[in-house]
Amino acid sequence: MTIPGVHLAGEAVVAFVDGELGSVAHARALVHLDTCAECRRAVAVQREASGLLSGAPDPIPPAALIGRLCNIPMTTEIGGPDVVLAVQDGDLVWGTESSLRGRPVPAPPHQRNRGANRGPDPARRDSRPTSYPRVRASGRIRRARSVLIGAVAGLAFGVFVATASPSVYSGTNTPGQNLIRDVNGAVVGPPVTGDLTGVHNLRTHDPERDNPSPDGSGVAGRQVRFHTDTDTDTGTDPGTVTGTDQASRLVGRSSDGTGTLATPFFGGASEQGRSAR
Amino acid sequence: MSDVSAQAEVTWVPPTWDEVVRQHSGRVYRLAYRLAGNPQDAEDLTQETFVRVFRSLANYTPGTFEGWLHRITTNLFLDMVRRRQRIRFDALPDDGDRLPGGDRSPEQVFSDTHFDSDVQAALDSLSPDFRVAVVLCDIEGLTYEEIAATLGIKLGTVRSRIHRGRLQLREALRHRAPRSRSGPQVAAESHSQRLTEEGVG
Repeated sequence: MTIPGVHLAGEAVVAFVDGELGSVAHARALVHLDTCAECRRAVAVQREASGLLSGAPDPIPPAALIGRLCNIPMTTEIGGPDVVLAVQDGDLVWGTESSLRGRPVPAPPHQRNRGANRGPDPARRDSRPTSYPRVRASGRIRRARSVLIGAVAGLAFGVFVATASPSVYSGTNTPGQNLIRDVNGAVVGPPVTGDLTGVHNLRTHDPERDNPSPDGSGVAGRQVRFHTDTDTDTGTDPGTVTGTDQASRLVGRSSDGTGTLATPFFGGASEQGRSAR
Repeated sequence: MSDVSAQAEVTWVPPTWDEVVRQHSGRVYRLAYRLAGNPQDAEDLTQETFVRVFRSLANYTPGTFEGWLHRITTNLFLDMVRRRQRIRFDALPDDGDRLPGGDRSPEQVFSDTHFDSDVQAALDSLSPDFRVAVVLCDIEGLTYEEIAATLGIKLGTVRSRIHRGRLQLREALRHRAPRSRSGPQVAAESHSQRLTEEGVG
């Protein structure tokens, strides 16, 4: 098979090294290599370079980068017409509506086209949760370093709120120390447990789990409005999700006491003009 | 990877964003680092990749996440390279509000500075197209077909770029290669004649 002066093509050498030759070609290459030192060297060079790369240790992403990545939902507009991002039981859950369509919670019809509206609309504060499906019930606390403004004000219903000054969380991670409070400082929720390291926590409420008090004084049915200390007006563009790393808080608001969850966390610009199923 | 996609068909539970980040950030950062060659650009590329992912969640279908990430990261890298080639006199990224590397732990700094600077320098010496092909193959472990799909090039081009890229890499790394018996004095490219293999080209 081996003809003097004839060698494996470079592309055959590399494909041989990477196991990318077909079985016939591979067998022929083996036969050739058996008698051709030059091609064996070519194979060795390829293997050596490949091994140096694959053997190199992995660079580790800095923790601060991970933090920024986790923060992207707070600082970035969401895209795509069908994407839903929802907070469920403290989990930030995302996907298309069809992918999330597990156990939908139907919304009153009058609620369905209001996603793009925003601002302190008293009528909306009293409205029921919208129709976003409930996805998970792990009950884990998710971290939320920043706070959402406009889109959330227009979209988030049925979430109750944690008022969180940074000092509450910084450096402490003791379960039971962090209570959910409303704007006036009244405790409206159970102690927050979980990962509280240095960031604000965002948590939604599950009435099935938390047994809201019937008179509405419990955590159920509170609505959430997100703003930051540095942002007092709600005139931001609809659908724009903004946030800040600085002192920010979630401010709760009592409502009619009928909470369900599956709260649309925010939908960004794509929420505009899209009817919430 | 295959486990995830196998299950995904049946019941796909959408991950939380935190889970997405924690599951994939290491891979994206590694790819970005190997392509860009320095931690600052790697961080920028990684962040931009995840921003793109977040903005395009609607396009996501279960099972393609890794390929999607590879494609976004490599495209962003190649865009960055082209942008800088156009603006040769100023290769600095416009990220004034970020402190590059200012928040690194001692382990991080060690990792950044000691992590095979020779290998990275050799990679950096490759042309971007070769670098991408070699990195996707040898660091990310993609098949030729996956690389071709990621980069939108033909299989033959993938083979050729990996082959030549490794040769150049090997040349750049010659000083740290273990001394072989005879030494590869004959460059593989100098073959007088090529034997065209079945299934190649």
